[in-house]
Amino acid sequence: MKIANRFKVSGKSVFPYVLLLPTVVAIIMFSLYPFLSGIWYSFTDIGWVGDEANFVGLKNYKYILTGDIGAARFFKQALVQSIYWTLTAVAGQFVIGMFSALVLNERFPGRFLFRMALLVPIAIPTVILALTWQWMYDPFYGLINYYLRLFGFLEGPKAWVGQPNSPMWPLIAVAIWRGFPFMTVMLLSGLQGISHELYEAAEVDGANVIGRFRYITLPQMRTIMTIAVMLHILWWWNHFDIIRIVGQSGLEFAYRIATLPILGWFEAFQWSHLARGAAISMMSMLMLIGIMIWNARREIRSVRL
Amino acid sequence: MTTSREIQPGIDKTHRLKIGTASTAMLSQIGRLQKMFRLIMLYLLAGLIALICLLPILWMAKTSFETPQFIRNAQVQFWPLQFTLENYKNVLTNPHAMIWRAMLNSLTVASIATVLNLMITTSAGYAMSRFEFKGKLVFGMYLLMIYMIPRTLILIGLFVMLAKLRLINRLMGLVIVYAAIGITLSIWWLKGYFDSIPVELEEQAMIDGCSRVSALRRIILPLSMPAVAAVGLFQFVDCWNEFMIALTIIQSPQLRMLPVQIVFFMGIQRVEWGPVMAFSMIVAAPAIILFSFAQRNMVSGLMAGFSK
Repeated sequence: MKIANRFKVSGKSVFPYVLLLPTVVAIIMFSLYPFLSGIWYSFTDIGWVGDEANFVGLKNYKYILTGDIGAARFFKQALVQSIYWTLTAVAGQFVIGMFSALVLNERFPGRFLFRMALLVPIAIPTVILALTWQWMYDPFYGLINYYLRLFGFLEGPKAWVGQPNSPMWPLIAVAIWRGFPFMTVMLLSGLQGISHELYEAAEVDGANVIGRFRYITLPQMRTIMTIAVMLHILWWWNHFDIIRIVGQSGLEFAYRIATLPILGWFEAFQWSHLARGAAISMMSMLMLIGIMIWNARREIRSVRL
Repeated sequence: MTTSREIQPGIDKTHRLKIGTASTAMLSQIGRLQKMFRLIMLYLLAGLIALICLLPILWMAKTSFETPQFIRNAQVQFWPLQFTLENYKNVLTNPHAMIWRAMLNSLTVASIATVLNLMITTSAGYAMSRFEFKGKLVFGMYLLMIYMIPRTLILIGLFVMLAKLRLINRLMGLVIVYAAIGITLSIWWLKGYFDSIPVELEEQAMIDGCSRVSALRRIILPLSMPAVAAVGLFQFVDCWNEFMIALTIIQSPQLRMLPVQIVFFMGIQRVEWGPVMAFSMIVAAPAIILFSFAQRNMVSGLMAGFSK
């Protein structure tokens, strides 16, 4: 052990810094600098590349928050949409993910095959998902309409996505489908960490299935549940592909379903106004940080104590 | 071995006492029935979960092999299938699909970016695993922090910077960006793996006269090849699947990556779902093959990354 320590600490050599140098350079160039310059651009009037970036203070933020043309017209809607999209998608992912984790934590022959099926939605490119689900939602020949009509839930063909007045939840269903397997994988690892003795003790004390879930599983899983939910909020708040691709069917629809990151992208790259796009992205990030802190308030408090 | 978890709540101890007078044969029969019932329930539920996961993919595969006039049929049926390769032929030969060009672009960009990424993250992961040095904690925290910065915000700054470097609308620009965005995940993953290799191995080699570098090259790298390969696979699939940056940075049709090309192709095709689904199958194939190939590595690797 002593030798190990000596080797690990081995002096003030420059070797670790040499090993880290390429990574540090790459991170500074391709994430830290673009991030900081993105923040800077949100306070300037840069329109497109090659423009000079002049400092204009909070003008872009004011324009977006109080204006009523262009992206500003959609800002409040996109904000509501972001919250709605993230919370419903992550809530759905959590409920279904917890359920599947509990099922797949039980011991039965062939369990690994069912666990493997979970990896399919994780592995498939989101672009392909967006297209395949659009095909499943197809009003005339799609799978979903067919079964809904077969069982009498639907009279005629119905376009679920792409129309100017289409609802958001068909997209949320796709998000839940895509996201719940990862939630399951994370929750499973938490479930596997709970010792059997706890359950046995509870059983001796007469706790039934629901009682054991309520008084052992949930408290024991507190940390991993918080981490899993936070990560999913982070991912799905910033999610781009599904909403962007389904929005391809029409600009009006695209704007109606746009969340904040997508509105920012449209403003920056579709309408060539990088500064306003950056400002929208900044506000999106600040909102997200707020939600994350609120979500982790209990953990943050316990760290301080 | 029967743990008490497997005993159903129905038969608790008092219950058993009450029916203690009944024959043991009957009791064991009840137990067996309950076990059977539990298994059937589990298979039903697990089967439902698996079906939900697989259904869209099966539907995509089915459509891609279906004769076009049967796709446009109000009667949906999974079986029997009017099997045909027509959709694939259509996509692979249709000049508007430009699938070969896009495939070549994707393959080139994803492989070079993966190799670049592995080259820098393997050494960084090793440093994070084996050394204590000033700034290690800060660096580790920063790695996690950049994971949280929204990509749309980075993309704006990145776009302006790449434009200054004249890398917009160049595959080279994509390669560099892709190599950089996967850094966090690779480093954490590889660090976790290096942690699991005993330090004694290197010490032994160094006592035998190896330098640190040659110990790394001759002992640690060969040992960690499976992990490096798994990380590489993951990075490759990630680059192959990426959409947002590829859509933003590349403008000319000849340089489009597969995921972007399929969205444009879908815009042309609109109602012909057969070729679109065949195209989808081709785009999704590497991801499915690689993931099923590396299944165990993937899950344990993901788990190791997150338990940190």
